[in-house]
Amino acid sequence: MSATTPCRLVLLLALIGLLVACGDGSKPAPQRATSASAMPTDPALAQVYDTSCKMCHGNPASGAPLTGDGQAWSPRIAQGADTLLDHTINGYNGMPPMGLCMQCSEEQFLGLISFMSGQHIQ
Amino acid sequence: MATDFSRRQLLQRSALAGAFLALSSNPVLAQLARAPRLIPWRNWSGAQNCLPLARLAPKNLDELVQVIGQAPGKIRPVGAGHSFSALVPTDGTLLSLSFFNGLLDHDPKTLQATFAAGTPMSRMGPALKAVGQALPNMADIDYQTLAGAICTSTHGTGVGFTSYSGCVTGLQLVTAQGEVLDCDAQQHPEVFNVARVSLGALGVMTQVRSQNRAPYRLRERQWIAKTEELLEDVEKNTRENQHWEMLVVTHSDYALSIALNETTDAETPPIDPAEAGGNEFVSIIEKLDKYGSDFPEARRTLLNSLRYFASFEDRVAESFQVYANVRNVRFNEMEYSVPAEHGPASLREILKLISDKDLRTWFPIEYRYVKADDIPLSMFEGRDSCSISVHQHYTMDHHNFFAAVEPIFWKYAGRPHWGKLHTLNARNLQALYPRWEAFTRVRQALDPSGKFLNAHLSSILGVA
Repeated sequence: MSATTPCRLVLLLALIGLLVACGDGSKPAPQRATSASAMPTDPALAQVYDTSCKMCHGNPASGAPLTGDGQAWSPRIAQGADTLLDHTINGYNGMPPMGLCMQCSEEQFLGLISFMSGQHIQ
Repeated sequence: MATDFSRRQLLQRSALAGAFLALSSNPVLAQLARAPRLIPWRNWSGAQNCLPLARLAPKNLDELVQVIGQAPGKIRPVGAGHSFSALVPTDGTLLSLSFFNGLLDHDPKTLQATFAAGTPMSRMGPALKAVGQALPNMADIDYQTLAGAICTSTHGTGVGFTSYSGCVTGLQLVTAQGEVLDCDAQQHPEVFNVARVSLGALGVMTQVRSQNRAPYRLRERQWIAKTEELLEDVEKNTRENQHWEMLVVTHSDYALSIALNETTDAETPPIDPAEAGGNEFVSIIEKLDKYGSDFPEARRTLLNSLRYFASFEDRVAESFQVYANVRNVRFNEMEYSVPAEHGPASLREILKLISDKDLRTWFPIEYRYVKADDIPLSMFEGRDSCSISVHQHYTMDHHNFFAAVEPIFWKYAGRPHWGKLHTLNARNLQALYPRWEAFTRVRQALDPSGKFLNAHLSSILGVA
């Protein structure tokens, strides 16, 4: 018998645990109120949103907090404007740097976050 | 409580206090401290960055011409920032085409359509469907803009299909002198010929006309098999499927095989977005690497056992819905295209190297085929090719891993993907591209002062 067998067994159990956990996580989450078709009222911001943020924040498959999903945005908003701006500009986990808006100013980024979260950020 | 400071700590604190006083008392510095932060540009993975003098998005052609004429230094166009190589970074002007967006024209007889060059690829499928057209092939992600994809010869898979660039029938280019060139096989043919893969070094592309086809549905079939068996069956898999690729799970003996074929069958119900694109399995493999990399044999056993948990149902949907996947895990990537017949040997060597040296990586290797074209700087110029992509999670060091693998690609005369990481320069690249001078001649004529060059482009194109 190979010396690695005990390790294999332990890891196999870990794998099974992992898969079970992942299985639980992949169950469809309860549907939350979102605004997939919502657009900012400011036409300039709407243009930017449509060609950048919306690609992920309007797509449930992306894993990003969806536009209008207050519950998903709430813990992020709680981190404050500086942290949100830093994650937007430099990227964070799945969030790509600049959020696909290469020309956006700090003010525009804040405006877009405010629109998507439904909470005024400054 | 008394606090003891060392001499170094006292000096550090004195310097900080001095800086604070300077900022408080000097109105210019105080103004700077209150000013909005300088916004750096970073690419999708975060590995490339720059602090441009200006980030501009002209709203129309006139504005674009004006910007090109007035920009004080270098100009680099940027799309979605999905290139891993340093094509974009500049300390001059970063030029976004986000206002150059959407379908401009289409011809139902020829099935050709013209899009503004900043259009995201993800927007093209629905727009084309509405006018009775579809792209003949697509890559497995669609975050890129059209210009970004064309400029780097971005591609999908299928022995009968070229890259996006191979489908281009016309384009509009704004040159360094502000001249607007409409190019195709009849107008400015020499420019058109090379501009289909230009790395953004000839000017700013504003419109692209492509040859499309009628809309179609695809059936996606996925299965897990031993990598070696799939390699032995490469000819059969590529012959019997219009689009075939595999995602090879490193440190295992298995790969996910994916076949897409045209069908007239009815669409299957939409899948749960959380399960799209295999991201769930990517997450499991990542965790196995995190906790199992110290036990390589056990990790291999566990990775191999993943096949018992995997089940795949066929999916039928509109072509553009099937090609593209969501990729919500960021990574860095190196890809080379080798002559098609060397694909299996190249992959076998890479996998042996990873295994023998226990190289730290967990992202699957992507293995695809692309048809030859006739574009001077296309990776597929003059030869049917096999494209092999190695990835590394964006938080993990990619340098050592890529440096270990890259010589294998060189051995098989591989050509690096222009938008992905590599270490070649003009001297090496020139030898790989028989029609290299056709491109450099046009570039020199259109942009003699190098307005559209950055350090990376100067290096790979050999321009001092």
